[in-house]
Amino acid sequence: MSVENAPVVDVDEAAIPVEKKMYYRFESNDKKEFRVSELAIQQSETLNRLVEAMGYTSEDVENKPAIAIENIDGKTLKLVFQWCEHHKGEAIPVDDGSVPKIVEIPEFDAKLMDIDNGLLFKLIWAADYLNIVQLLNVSCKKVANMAQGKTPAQLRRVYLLPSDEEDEAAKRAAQEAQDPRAREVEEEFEERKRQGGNSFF
Amino acid sequence: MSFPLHKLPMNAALHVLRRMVIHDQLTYSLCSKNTKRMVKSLGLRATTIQIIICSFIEIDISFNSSNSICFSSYFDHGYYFPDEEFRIPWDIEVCAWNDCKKKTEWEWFSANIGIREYLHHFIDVLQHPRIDELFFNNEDVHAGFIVPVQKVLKGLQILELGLNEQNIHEESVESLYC
Repeated sequence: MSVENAPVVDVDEAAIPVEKKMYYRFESNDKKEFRVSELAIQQSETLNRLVEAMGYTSEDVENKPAIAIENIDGKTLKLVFQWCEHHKGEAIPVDDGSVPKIVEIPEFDAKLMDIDNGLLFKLIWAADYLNIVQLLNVSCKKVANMAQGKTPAQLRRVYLLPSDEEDEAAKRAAQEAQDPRAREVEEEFEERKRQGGNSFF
Repeated sequence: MSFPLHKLPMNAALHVLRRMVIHDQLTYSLCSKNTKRMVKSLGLRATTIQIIICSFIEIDISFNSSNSICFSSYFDHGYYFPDEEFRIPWDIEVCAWNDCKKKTEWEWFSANIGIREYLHHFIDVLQHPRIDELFFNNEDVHAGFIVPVQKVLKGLQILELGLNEQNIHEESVESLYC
C-alpha cells in the first residue's frame, strides 16, 4: 500500500502519554545557575546519585534552592553541562583495564575543548570530581596528545614535571603537614646528636 | 604551552598517562623516579627485548606484531674503552613503529644516562627481566667489544645469541662464547 492510499486515522493527542522532561537546577561556586535535563545528568555518576538520593519532584526543582556545586566555577560548569546535554542518552563506557586506551575525540568535543590549558585543567578536574567517564576520557586524551614525539626534556617542560629533588621535598612537606610533632622530634634528635649525646632520653 | 599534569588528582593524571601511546609512555617514564613509578603501575608488557650490536648499540622493544620502539646510540668502532664501559652517549635516537609504519622518529641530546641505565630502566618498567636476543651484526665487532657488552648485560638472562657469522671475526666468536 502506498503512502498516499494509507487510511487516515484520527488521533486523540491527549491520549498519547507525553514524556515529562525534568530539568534540575545547579549553582556554581560563583553563583551562576544552570538548568540541566535529567537525561544529561545521567552522564555524571556523582550528580545522578545525588539527584536520585534527593528524590526531587518537578515542583521541588522549581521551589527549592538550586543544588550547589561548591568547588566548580561557572565557566567550567557551563562546559561540563554543554558536554552532558550533547551526549545525553549515550552509553557510558566501561573501563576494561586495557593500556593504552584508544580514544577518538569527536568533532563536537574537540571544539568544546578548544580552550586554554588553565580551563582544560579545570574541566578535567570537574570531570573527575563529577565522575563523567567519557568527558574524562576525551579531555585526558587531549592532554596525552601533548606528549606526542617529545623527548624527556620537552616532556618535563610541557607537563611542568617536578625533578626528583622537588618530589622528595614535596613528600617531606606532606609528611610534616600530617605530623608536625614528628618533625620536631627529628630536629631535637639531630640537635642532640650534634651535641655528642647518644641517648635521646 | 604547558599543562601542570602532576597538579591533577592522581586518578586523572593516570587517566592521561593511560591515553598516551606506548612510546610516549616510555619516554615519560624517563623523566623522574615518580614518572617511572607511575608508568610501571600501568603494567605494560613487552613481548620481546632485543639488543643489536653493530655500528651502534640498539635496544629494540616490541609490544606486539605491529608496535615496537627502538632506542639506539652510535659509538666509534674500535674505540678504546679505558673503563671497559660504553661511554655515556651524547645522543639517543628513538624510532617508533605503529601498525608496521614508522610513526615517530626523534632524538635527544646531552643524555645523562648510559645505555646500561636505559636498558635496566626499561627492563624494570616493563617487568621483563631478560634479553630475548643479543645479536652481533658487524664485521668490525671484535674481542675488545665483548667486555663492555658484558658489563651492559651483566646479571640479565639472555635467551638467544645471534651472530652474523659471515661478517664476524673468528676470535670474536670465541670470546663471545667464553
